[in-house]
Amino acid sequence: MRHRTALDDVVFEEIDTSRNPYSKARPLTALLRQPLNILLGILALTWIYPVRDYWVFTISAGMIVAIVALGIMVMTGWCREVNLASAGVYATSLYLSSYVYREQPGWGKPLWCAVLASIGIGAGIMLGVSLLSVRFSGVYVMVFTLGVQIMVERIMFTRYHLTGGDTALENPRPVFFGHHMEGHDRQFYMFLLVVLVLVMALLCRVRYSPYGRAMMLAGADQQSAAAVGISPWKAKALGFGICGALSGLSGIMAAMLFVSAPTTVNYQATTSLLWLSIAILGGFDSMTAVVGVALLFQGVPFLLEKFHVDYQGLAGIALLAGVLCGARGVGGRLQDIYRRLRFGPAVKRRAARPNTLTTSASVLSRADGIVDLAEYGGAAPAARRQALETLEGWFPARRTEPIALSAENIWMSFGGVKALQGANIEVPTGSFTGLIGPNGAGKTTLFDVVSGLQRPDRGTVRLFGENVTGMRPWTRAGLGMTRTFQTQRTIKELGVCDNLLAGAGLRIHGNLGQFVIGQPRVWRQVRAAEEAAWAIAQLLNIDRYWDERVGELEFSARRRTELGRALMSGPQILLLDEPTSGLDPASSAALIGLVRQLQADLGLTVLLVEHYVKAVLESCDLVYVLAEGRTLAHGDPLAVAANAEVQTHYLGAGASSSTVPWRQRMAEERRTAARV
Amino acid sequence: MSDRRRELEIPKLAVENLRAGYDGVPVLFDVNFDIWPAEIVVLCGGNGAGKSTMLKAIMGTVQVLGGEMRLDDQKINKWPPHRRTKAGISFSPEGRRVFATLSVKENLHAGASHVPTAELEERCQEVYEYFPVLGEREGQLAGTLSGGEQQMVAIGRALMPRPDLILVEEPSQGLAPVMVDRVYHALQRICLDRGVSVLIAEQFQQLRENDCDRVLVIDKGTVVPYESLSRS
Repeated sequence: MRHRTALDDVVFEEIDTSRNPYSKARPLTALLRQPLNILLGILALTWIYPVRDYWVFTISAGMIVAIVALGIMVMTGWCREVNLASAGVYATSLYLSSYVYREQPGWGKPLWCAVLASIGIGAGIMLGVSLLSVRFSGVYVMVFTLGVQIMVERIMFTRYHLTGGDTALENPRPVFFGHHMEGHDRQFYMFLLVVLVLVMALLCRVRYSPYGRAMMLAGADQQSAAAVGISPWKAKALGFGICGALSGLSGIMAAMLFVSAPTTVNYQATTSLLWLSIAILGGFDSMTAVVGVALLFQGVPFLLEKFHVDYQGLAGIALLAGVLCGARGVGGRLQDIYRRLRFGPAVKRRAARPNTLTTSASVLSRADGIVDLAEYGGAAPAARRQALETLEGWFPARRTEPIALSAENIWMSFGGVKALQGANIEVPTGSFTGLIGPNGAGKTTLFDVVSGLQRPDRGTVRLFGENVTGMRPWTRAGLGMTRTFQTQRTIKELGVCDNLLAGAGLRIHGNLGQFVIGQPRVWRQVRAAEEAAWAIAQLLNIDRYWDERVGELEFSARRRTELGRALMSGPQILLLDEPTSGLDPASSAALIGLVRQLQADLGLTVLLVEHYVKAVLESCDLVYVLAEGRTLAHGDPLAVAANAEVQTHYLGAGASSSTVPWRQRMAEERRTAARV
Repeated sequence: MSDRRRELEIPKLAVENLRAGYDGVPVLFDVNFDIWPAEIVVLCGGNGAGKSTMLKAIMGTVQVLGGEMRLDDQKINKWPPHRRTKAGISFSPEGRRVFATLSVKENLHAGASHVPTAELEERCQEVYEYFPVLGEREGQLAGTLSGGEQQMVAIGRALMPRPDLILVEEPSQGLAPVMVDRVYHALQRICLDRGVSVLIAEQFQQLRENDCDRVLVIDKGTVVPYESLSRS
């Protein structure tokens, strides 16, 4: 029985996915299309002619800090690991690389050798640190980087032949096409500007390539990154490496700018902290804001010098201001304002979506399970067909082996707790299989074992007949298995679009270099991914939130975004861990219905863990019941529900079957107890 | 509960024309209901209907913007949460927020901050009486318990100060039906034995009409009578 709703009368306009308004698959073109950036560029070019020399020099120094801060933004903002060693790494590469190209004392090698050495030193140190993040993260990385910083201060800074000590060491400025930049601060400013713009352009490409999104997803949640085929270690190492390389690059730039090697007191741990605060204040998804804040940090103390304002104190105040701006920093705030000006306030944007039925009566009637799917998978037939066609091209060819996934005799214990004791499960290809069981039965543990997050003590997991028991989760994802989690794991600060595309890494082939130089072949794949993401968003009815930050969405939309991310990896088999937890019954039933429909349309194999028994029994082809780490029963849903053992272990008497009011029942119970 | 008793007594908790919300923006509008001593009331509603906000308003962690809340005929609008706890209101939050790295016993102790140390053991035994499984596992870390047992720890923790009114937020969320049975059974025994009023916030999906005395339906921030709705 299907109720007619207002939505049935709405004619959905067909949306041309190729003209997606927020496309980021041509990041540089997208940047250039914004008039503000061109204006800023012209300003940066012409500004130096009317101003005094010392301003040109100060802002040049600010641009060097901006390059370091961009690196810290990658590591702290994208990979979510705090770096307190940036000043140390920067100073190390400054002193070592200037030794490479300086004549006396030094090796007098060509400049390009020094630049490569500097970048290499920076990246090398940070990659070393990243080895640690394999095992630790968060506060441990922070403490470790602080240790690196102190080590640099103790070992590097005391080598006077490198740092100069009290004697000034002269670092020559570069010679370009026979033109010597010695004493030409304005020309060097231009040179630095070009370097900074290049760095920003390359980072921009990294950001919108699968590598950038992989870093962000790995930073937000390592396990969900692994579930869509991203190795969180590699992703983090890349972020650390970029951070170190940029520190190194700015180190050599500084050696050239300052001419005489700067004194080491400039690069103590407090400087690292200061630079970290620039990245935080700027926000993690706005390079322009980071550069702007870096320039302000150099320029403002200079302006306020006559008032005797303490540099560090100013940094403290600025950091406080940044904290008030929230996690997204000044850049995030500015983006919000821009969005509001261009697309109207969030309230208005959301009002555009069809209203859900929330009057009391309808809530109750929907609770009976009579739910309209329109609300959840509401694309009109034409749009739906088009979306499915797009996905047809995106998904890999379906596997034909009869059994998609099997776990045989799985044993697993945590300390003394035996979570799994010989559990067996077999999921036929193309089926919609449910897994139910009481709390502590080991459902989630079995999921973790199957998806590779836990290694079982005993037993075999096979994926399309291949033994994958010892395989890493991201390698399994490459074989076509992905999963979602019980708790919500999205990148809250980014839009639905970025969250969906974070799952696309497996289906896009190309290395980082190809993305950075902008090879058309690889970026074509990103555009295809964007179209597929748009199609999935339409099918899951989250297209209207395409550019909205996920953290601000309603609960069920976030759930569907996670589901969409899993689908973007083009899975053969999809494991869903309680997709409806925290949803009301109407939304739960609708979500399960939607998943069921997608499974049929896309030819997926689905394994579902669920507590909403009614939905499982109604929609699954095959049901497994797990209790005390063992498979209690399996088979047809009706047969399973009728199984006596299942009833005592799991379904219980329940209120649905109890028609006696509780006070009466309790009195009865007590009478019986008294008689005994 | 007989009408006669109601006439004689004052309600445990009376809520009149309550408006409450976050940052001055009301989420609850003109809410009216009473909770009587020794009764089990279920507050039912969909996602975002205002169930949690209602419980938080009673607990004092949400700003009351208008109307009145009375506990035993005392106005408690401006009372801070700890004062309400001392006056006999207790709260078991959603999602079983137990301290995973503490033992069951330590978790229970955490709920009894103003109970004299000498009495702690006795109070724990009271909890174990209703949840025997917790007694068996009193030394085990709460994080290693199953979901149902964690829910019991959360409710047990709320029982430690010997409340007169216990607020339980979504006790059946993520629990197997068998475990839900047990949790409700324990709450019913507590209600009968000790005259505690119980207010449970639940999703419609989990509504068990025969396991409570009354159902309040909350929708769009206001309480609507249940009977009238089931007929519409």
